[in-house]
Amino acid sequence: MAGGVKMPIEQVRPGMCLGEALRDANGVVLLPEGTVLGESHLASCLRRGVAWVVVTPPDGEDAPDETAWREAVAARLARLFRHGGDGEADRVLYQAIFEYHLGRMP
Amino acid sequence: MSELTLEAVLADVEGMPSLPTVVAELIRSLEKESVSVDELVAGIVGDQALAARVLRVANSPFFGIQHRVASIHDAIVVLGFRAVGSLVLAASLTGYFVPPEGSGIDLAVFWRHGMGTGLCARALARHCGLEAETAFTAGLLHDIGQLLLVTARPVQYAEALAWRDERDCPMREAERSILGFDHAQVGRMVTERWRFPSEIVQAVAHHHDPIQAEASGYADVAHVADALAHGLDLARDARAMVPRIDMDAWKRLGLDERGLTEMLPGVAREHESYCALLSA
Repeated sequence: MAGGVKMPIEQVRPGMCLGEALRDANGVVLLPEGTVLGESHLASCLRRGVAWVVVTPPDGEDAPDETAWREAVAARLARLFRHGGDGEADRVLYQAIFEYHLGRMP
Repeated sequence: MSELTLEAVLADVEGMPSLPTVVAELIRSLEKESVSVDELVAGIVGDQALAARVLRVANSPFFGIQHRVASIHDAIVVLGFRAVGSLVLAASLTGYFVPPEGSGIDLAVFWRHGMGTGLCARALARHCGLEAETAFTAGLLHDIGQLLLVTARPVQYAEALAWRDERDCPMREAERSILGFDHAQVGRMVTERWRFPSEIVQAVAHHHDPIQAEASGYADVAHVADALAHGLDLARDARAMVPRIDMDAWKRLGLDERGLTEMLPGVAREHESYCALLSA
């Protein structure tokens, strides 16, 4: 496995390369490792409800640093919480989930 | 297109095929202290595909069992009757509705969210002293009304799905605008038809407005579990959105950030194992 950076689909740009095969819920490979993602792949991912993919880090970067991971998590949560409330419960839930995802940096 | 009424949907619900006997028995057992384990084991073993799926989950790394669980009877000894009962209910009910091809609902995504909500509900119930397996089932089935609608009325439901996609709004809002009623009302009918205990019916009916529930405990749990499962991204659904949380429900559950933080890693690990139930 080539491995790479787990990234919210909204942040993936055409030309990035899959670091891990993309599979559906049954483990069937939708796109093999090494696929260079084009516009049509990204549109298809969004249609299928794919939320995250693993892409190969750009040359010279071995792994995401904490700042990049924090930004990626914040971007995904901003999308998930776009209709969330602003009460105390909503804030506590957001914070607990944010910390949980931060702790799972690949 | 003729207007779809809640009465017409009720007729759809009443026309649903019966549940397998073993599943109906399991639902009844949720309300009873003592059940005939032998009869239930016989019922489960009689459906080999069902038994195999349950054993696959029981043998997943999450449960940490050193020796392979080879039979449903062993699984009950190791995991307990109620936990195995939940697995069987989940394995069976997730295969009950089969929406037509191209209906706009991805069944795998739907049930990954249902499983996630069930597991979050179970963890929340343990935190606040409610019965864990009742909470799991309520969470698992909280959106079941959507599946009845998309299976029985795919054309009308496609309109609601398109309305939702166009506006990026909650499904419930789209259903009310297009159909005049929502999936929680339909979920109530489905769970009543299946004769689930009233706590589960109430939780499914009021997971968006727990204040309206006759007894709020499991509705509070389903409401917060739904938000938690979406926030954890368990369904990996690009359209997912975390709903606003009802502050009264939150307070009744006595939750704080520390309690939640401790709960999340376990729920996410369990989710991986339970999703093995979803593949044929």
